[in-house]
Amino acid sequence: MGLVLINAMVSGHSKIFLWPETELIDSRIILIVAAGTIIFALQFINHFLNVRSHFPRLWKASVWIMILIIPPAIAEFLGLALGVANGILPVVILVLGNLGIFYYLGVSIASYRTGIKQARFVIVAFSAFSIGFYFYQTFLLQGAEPDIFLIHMLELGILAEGLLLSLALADRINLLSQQKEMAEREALLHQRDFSKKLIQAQEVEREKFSSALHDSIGHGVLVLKQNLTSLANDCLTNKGGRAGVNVAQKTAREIDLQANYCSEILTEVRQMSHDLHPHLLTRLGFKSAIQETMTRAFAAQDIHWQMDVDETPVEIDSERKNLIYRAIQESFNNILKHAHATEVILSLRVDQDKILVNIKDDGRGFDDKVFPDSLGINNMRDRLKLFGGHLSIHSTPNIGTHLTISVPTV
Amino acid sequence: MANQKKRLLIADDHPIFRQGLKQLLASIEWLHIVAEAENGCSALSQIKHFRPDIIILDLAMPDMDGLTVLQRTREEYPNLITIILTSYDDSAYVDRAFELGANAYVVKDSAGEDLINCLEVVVQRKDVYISPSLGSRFPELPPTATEKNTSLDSLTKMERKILSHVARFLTSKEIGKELGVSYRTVQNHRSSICSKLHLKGAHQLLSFAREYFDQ
Repeated sequence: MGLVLINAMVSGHSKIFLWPETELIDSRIILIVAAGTIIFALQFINHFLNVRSHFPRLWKASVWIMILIIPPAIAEFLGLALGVANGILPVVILVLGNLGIFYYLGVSIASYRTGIKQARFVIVAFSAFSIGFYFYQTFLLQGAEPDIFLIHMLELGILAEGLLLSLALADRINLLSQQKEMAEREALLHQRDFSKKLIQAQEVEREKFSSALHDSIGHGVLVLKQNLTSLANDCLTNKGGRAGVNVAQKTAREIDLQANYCSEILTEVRQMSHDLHPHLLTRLGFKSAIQETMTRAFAAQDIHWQMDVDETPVEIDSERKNLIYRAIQESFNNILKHAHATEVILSLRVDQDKILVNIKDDGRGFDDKVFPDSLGINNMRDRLKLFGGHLSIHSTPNIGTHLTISVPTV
Repeated sequence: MANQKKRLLIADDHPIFRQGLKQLLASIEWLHIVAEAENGCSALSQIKHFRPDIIILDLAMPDMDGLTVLQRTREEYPNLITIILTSYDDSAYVDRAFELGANAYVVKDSAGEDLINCLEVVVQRKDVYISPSLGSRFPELPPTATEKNTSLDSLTKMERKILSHVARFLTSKEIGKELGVSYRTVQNHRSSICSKLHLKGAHQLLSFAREYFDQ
């Protein structure tokens, strides 16, 4: 619109068709319109190609052009001289306008080169316009021999620009929808991958319990049964014999041994039940559950441990509670498996609408730029993400590892 | 010995275990088993109906767990003697049970030997009882506020410094590095602080330090 209006004014058509009754308005209004057009175009391109985040320096330059172009345009419109010679202000605006054109072209070419595809039509559009504009300018300034093409060069340029810019817009919409589709596809893939991993993890867990059931507990009970059977046989065969008293004593000792054996199996069952479901967490909350887990995990390994668990009552569903507890358990497992720590500290804070857990060990650590994949952290991170949670980890070799988990309460 | 038989209620969801328990208790002549309950809710209503003197209560039961039953009965029947009989040996349960006013905590592993002894202690001597196998895990009660305040003055300058570093969530290794002393030295100071502040169980230091420095 701005360009068409300028064109109309420059060519004198506006004076004939738009405002025939007024005198001399064109030469004053034209610069305001030109400045407005330049500002609008700069804003357009800045938003269209998101210049501010991709090329912050160029963006600043465009802001300066916009700021500098306003005073001369207003001064010229109001007829103020601003202390400069007559005819300087239009030249300033012209120079800034030209700078603007270079800016459009420069930015769109730079954007295209950094992979912003939607810049392609903008380049063509502004090229078409610039060619038209410069030919027209040459014609104006040097008084070249006017022929039919040269006279209408600017109109042609504007027309081409308008057409091509609308193509650029269509192109942008197209690209955006493609991007969206791709993001959706990626999210779906990620989700599938996560489900797969979850199922795998579940299988591994089941295998662990199945083998624990079969190998330790099943085997234990089997041995117990055999021992009891042979004990019964012994009793039967020796019944009423001369050594009856001795046999009774021996049997009592034997039974006692089997009872001890039962205790061992029981311990195993307890450990498994604890691992399978954090019953303490459900019944008594975080503090007791974490304390028990830390005792079970670290006391036997001679690892010093400290904890500070905020007991502020908090409304949180059991899924989130379990999630936090499992993440803590997992990080303890990592510490036991990899860290070689002598001390572990934990703090759990209730912070308005989220629960914050910090776990620190003084183990051998690792370079956190080369993050070890074996830690199962990614799986944990994915699970936390499902609930809007977050996990971060910092490690320094020989100093230790600091893990932070945060989970919103709702 | 009591002139009158004591009335007992058994609340446990395993019929076989209840059966075994009844056989075991049959030898105590001053005891009379008035009822059995197989879940928490039924235990509550039977207590109301039979008004027993003693209840043997399992922790893990369907509907309502033992701790909830204990909590509910404590106010209404302050004289009811409650014996927790469970397979859980976690100290957190022991702590919680006594907090709620249980008279005894017996683990099922050793119920055979312990229970008769336990009944003796809680009914005749009116004392509390914990299965000997849990003995070493007797509740570590946090020190009282006055205990803390009086003993804080006894900390040396270095100990205070270390306490403030503990409050900043630093490991002994990190504290040693910051203060230019060895890991051992930090550990020694820490245990000295714990004993001065009557902090039993080393893990109480962090929460004390953070509370004290209000971090």
